[in-house]
Amino acid sequence: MTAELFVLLIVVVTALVFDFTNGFHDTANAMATSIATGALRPRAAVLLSGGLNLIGAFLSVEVAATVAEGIVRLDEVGGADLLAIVFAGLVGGILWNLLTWLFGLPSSSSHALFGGLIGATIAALGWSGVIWSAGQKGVLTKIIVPAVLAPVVAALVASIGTWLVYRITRSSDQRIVNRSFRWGQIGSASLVSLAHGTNDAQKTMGIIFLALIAYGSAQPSDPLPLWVIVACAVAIAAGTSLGGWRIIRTLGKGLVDITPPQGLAAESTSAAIILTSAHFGLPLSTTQTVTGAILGTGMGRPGAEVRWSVLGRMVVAWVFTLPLAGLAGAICWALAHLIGGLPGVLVVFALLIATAGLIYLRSRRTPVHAANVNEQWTSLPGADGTGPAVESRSAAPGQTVSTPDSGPTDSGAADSGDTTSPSGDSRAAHRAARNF
Amino acid sequence: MQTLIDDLTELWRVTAAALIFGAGLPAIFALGVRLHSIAGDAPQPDSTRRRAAAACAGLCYAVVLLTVIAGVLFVARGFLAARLGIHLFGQD
Repeated sequence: MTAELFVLLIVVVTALVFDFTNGFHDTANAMATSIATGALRPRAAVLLSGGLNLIGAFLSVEVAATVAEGIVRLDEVGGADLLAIVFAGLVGGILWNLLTWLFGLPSSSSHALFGGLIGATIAALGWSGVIWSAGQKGVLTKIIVPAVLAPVVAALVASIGTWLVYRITRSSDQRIVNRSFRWGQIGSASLVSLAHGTNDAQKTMGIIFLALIAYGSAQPSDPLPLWVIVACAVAIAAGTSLGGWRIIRTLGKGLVDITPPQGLAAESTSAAIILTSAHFGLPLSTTQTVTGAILGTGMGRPGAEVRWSVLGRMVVAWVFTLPLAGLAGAICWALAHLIGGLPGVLVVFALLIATAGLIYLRSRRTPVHAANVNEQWTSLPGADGTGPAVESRSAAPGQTVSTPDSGPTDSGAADSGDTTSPSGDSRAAHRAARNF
Repeated sequence: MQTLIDDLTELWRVTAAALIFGAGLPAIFALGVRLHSIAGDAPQPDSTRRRAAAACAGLCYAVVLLTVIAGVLFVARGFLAARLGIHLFGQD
């Protein structure tokens, strides 16, 4: 086996790993609301979503051999150089996906990938390798404008939808209301899953196809090999079925306490925007749309509370997605380039495995899984609490959980009053301690 | 500047579509639920009212179901056109 073929294999595997993280990172977009309201049992929900992602991925046709088209200028680059940039970009995207998953923050997988690729491209080709703003192309038009508009539009529509739904059914038999809305919710969430499979698996297929062309084993005019479609479909479906429970918990329980009518309004809004926005030439970001829609249902339901601090953290993650995934991509490219050739790629790949392992081990400290995903909200799954401060406060979850509806106020009060902790980073420690 | 105006036009269309399908459809569904509830609650002798409510509820649910089916076909439109030669929603 030649070194070039080995590099190609690693790039293909890394692309599939990204596809996998894309799946489990985005399960929450479709299923968080159905899980939170009990419309579906957690396991059943992620399996349904995984199955629909699989079908959705097979519905992908017309896959173009491109990566981040209109955002980075990679058409001048070919062969091993192109493989190195794509590889570094993928690693940057995966690392950001894993880190945000650890903190339970829904951030866009597409943005993570774009960020990684932008960083790797800047490192390899300089600033001019990235299209920042040029008409319908560029970072501004393709990433930033849709990401800013998505939550606003979604929140507006979902709050109107929620208000209407509550207004119409307020005097009806609540048992019928809850039962019917659960069904409606499953339908709308399924549509979101299907659309996700079609849109997102397609991106990875394009990357693998591009890598095959860069290596020279495929021509741009060739049809997409079947194994690429199958591998990408299986990777995204497997990731989805695994369930990114930390993010599901944040979206389903953290931002707003969702009831079935709210769930239906949120998922209908998301499905409507995801399906129609691309058609009107302004494809809005899925993650931001779903988050905005869930936020909107909290604003539209009389008496519902929105935990603005949770939203604040999400927005921070969104703002840092491009720069930090980009930084990771740039460092990975520089490292691979410095060492050079197959050894360089191998070192970066080994670093990716090591970092992923560390993040996984860290996540075991505050595990979130199918059994505790719906428990009373206390705080985001902190990963930054360390040492005895965590141990000394391990009794806290019981107290917090036993006071229903104390979520937002308790969280704020506990954070601000938490000045007695011996740890310097007391807030972070407290957050971690109160997790499960 | 032109880009901004284009974006605003597109944004308006996206918002309108989102309002119709994202807020309008749940409202129709909610109407169905309300009628469904009325059909369940109505006193036994008043069977005409009951039947009318049940029929209207069924109609509301049917509208929602058909829209969801249309949504699935919309997602699959590229596949249907390329593999099966069924051209929907103006897909080539």
